[in-house]
Amino acid sequence: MHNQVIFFTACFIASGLAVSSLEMLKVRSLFSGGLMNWEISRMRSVSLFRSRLLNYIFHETRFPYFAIFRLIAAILLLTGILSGTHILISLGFAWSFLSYILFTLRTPYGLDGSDQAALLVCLVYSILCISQSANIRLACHIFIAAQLTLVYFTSGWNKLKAKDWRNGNYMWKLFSTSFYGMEKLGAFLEKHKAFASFSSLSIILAETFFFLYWLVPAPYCWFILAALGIFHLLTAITMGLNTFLWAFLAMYPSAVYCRLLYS
Amino acid sequence: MTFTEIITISFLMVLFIFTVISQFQNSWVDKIRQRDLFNFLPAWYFFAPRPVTYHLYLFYRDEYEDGSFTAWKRVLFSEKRKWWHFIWNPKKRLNKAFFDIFKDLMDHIKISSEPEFLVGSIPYLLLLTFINKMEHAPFALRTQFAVFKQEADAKDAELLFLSFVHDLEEEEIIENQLTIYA
Repeated sequence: MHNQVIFFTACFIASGLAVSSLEMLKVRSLFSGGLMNWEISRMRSVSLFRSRLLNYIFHETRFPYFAIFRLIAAILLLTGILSGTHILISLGFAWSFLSYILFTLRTPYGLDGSDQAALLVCLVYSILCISQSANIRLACHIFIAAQLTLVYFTSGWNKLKAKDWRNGNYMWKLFSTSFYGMEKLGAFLEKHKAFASFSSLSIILAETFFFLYWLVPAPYCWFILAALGIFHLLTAITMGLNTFLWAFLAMYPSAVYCRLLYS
Repeated sequence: MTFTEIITISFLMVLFIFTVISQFQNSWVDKIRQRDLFNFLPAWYFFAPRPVTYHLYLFYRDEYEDGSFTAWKRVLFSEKRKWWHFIWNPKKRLNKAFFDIFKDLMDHIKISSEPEFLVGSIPYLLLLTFINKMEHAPFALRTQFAVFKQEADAKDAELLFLSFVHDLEEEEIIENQLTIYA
């Protein structure tokens, strides 16, 4: 069971990392002289950003190597999964963690929740994979499952407090934007405000009461997990948040593991 | 429990407590987060309490020697949602970066709108270098950028920010700025 959890988590992290690294290579002009360029980002007030080592690593001309460095982490994880080599998976998680840290240091702009979620998963799974202690492994799984509960509760609770989320106004407005929206869906939700409100409330309730998955008996707890998993898939399709899907699904194996132990 | 177990489990507990604290929105949490260079402390708001409900447009125009300007030209960040975006969406980073930079620029304006402070700020310089790399009108000497905001339910866009006019060779100024910081 423990190995299966690592296997699935590694699959999700590797998929997210591979996609995000290839996307970085595709829009490399964004990093080399673009909005996420290092030459200006390094002017931040912390002296660390002016170190010669970081300047060497993040220099604009070396950006493709930086993206490939991230891609290698994904390859290590995938090779480890396919060959069943535990050491490669452990190395893959540690490498992924380092690549997320470097990415975070490179620029404060353009990072999102999926980067933060994946960073935490990689940190905790690096510890989990190298540890031989059953207590540490359990603590790592609990940390991830608790983090997932915190993710949904924070998001759901903050939406619940906002009237425009409850009545669906934010739902159709969000989907009407060019950045996160989907034109036809935005227009549909604007026209059918009752449906927008129903969808919005469903998301709010699913997120806020996600913590019930710790309490309700099976199979209801799996319905809750599946509902939120489908929610990530839908946000990937409708809002283009593709890396969110992989990063947050990577938290699910630990959540399932904890719930099975608890049962 | 072994010493390693105590240390590791304590680390995870402390990290979890800090991630819980970082979900609150107040000034001392902001101070903690500002010191979090490695992004260990996430804010899991997911478009709450107020999501992006507006379009944000970046425009630029060039100035000729006689002082006349070209028409405003829009920088296209986003594209219509495509079915494959759930697998492959490289422009997502560009959009997010633009939003973050603009939000940071607005925060800088709240501190001071003094030209020297603003032009030397990181978000301003990032937008300026980005605009400098755009295609410019032949024979134009200077450029200027502007950010417009249009609410999802509004017909018209409002001007949120208008930059100073900069020489197209302004990269030298940025180089100078970098030398000062280095």
